[in-house]
Amino acid sequence: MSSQNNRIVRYVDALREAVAQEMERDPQVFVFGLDVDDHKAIQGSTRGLLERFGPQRVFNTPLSEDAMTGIAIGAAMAGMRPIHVHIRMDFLMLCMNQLVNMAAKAHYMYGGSVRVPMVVRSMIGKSWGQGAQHSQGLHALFMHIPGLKVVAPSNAYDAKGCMIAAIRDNNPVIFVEHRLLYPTEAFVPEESYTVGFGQARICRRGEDITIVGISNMLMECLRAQELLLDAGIQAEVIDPISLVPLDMATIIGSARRTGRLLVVDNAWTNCGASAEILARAAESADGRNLIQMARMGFAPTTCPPSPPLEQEYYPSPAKIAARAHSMVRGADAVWTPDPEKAALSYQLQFRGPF
Amino acid sequence: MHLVDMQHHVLGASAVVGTTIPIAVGYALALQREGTGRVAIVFFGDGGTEEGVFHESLNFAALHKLPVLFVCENNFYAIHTPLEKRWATRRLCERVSTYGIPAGLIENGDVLEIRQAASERVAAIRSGGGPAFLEIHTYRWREHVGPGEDYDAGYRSRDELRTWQRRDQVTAIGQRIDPNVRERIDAEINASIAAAVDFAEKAAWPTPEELLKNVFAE
Repeated sequence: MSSQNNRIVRYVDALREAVAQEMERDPQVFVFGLDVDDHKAIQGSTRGLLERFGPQRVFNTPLSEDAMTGIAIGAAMAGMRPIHVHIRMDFLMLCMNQLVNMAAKAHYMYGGSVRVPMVVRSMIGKSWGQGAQHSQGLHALFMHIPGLKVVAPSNAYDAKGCMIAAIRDNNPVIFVEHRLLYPTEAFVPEESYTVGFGQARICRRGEDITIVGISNMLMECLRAQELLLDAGIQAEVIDPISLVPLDMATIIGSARRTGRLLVVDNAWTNCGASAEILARAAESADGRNLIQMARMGFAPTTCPPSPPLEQEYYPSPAKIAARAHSMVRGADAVWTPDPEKAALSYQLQFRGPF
Repeated sequence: MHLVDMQHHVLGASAVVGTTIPIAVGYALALQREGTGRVAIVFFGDGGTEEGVFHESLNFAALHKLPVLFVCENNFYAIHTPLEKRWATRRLCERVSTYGIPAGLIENGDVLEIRQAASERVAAIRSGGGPAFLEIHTYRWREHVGPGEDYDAGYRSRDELRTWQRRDQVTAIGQRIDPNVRERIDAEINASIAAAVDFAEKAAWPTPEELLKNVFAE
């Protein structure tokens, strides 16, 4: 995408810009949720919206996520376009009855006579003591339910484009953000644009192994890809961007070429998005192209708040690279990336092009 | 279990008790923005008032003075479990009024009294008065699901039924109408029901292609 108006923009600002542009364009769009209008502004993502659009369109709510989700659904059925904001994905557990039993099903149950055009924003937390209840990646729960769309942009360009697409979508969209992605930068056009769902992006090309990274793990996978170059391994890194709908054609096409598929999810692996991707890849087996498969995600435990245990809990560029290496060179060829390089890899800012 | 008729402003029923309460409040939010004085009305049973979402919805509706009328049809049973086993106190209207919502009770099932109360409440809501609540006592003559009676099951007595049968409003109103008019109305309604049954019996089953329709909206 080429544009005269490309600027370096942070993920958080791209999100806010998307919402502001849609609110400007469509008076039915409104933003609500706990603390959307206070001075912290959901870690910057709603800053300035109240001043620009007023309290009828940007408002705080009581701690009543169940009812507020139902209210979003009712308003959406009536023709409005609500954006319901939660500062942490963990709080979506309070919304499940409405999201699963009403939002996902209303269009089907009511014979197509009703639509639920709503966006549910939430942030996966990480680092400095977020711990058990402020760090969950629960997108698999929503992927499981027909009628919900799920999107997890990993960069500022997709954040803006996916948000605009989500707001314009006539279905409930679970919009998955990540706290650590907020300060990351990319080239972002000033004008309004959409990133359509159901199209994955190949971020880096390679012959030896396909690595799929979801949400923040896409960034970790790009760092791992750089580390792997030292071992002479060229990884192809794919960002699915949307999880429902899910572009398996791109992933399978790549995995058939490289012969190896590693999925790194920002969540637990058990019954997760990584399980779904590998299952679909396995189902695609045509008897000719053998695909070696593996997945990584959170350790199968509640997230610990203590830093050394956190390091054990999460995939990291070094761990991802080591796993990929063992898939390419064999399990006996043990290799870990240079620790200094692994630490420095966090300075990598992937800005595109997209 | 999910009746809907958007053309006639019947916004959709749901089989999970309480789920439509906040949805009605969401419609009311949209109606308030619309500013044409339209009102949303939501019906639920005594069981629905036990769900947390009922209280959340009352609070938010009152906070924003939304144009919604909450109507509890209290028939004293949640399927087979009586009120005494579920409610610490019977003070439902009092609970609702603590949110600043005017709450009225109609115990005798009189349909004209209900009509009058509803009319007054809706008028007050239309003029910006904020949400209102009505608790209306009623009774379920038959079993929870199905056409039969279940007094033999033992969880309720036929005496209870007889009290309510004596109050039957179809009978009561019917006796106040000229018999010729009554006969014509009955014939019209019976014909309408017969036509609906006939339509349903003759209608084709859905085709397999319909299975995947409407998972997502265009």
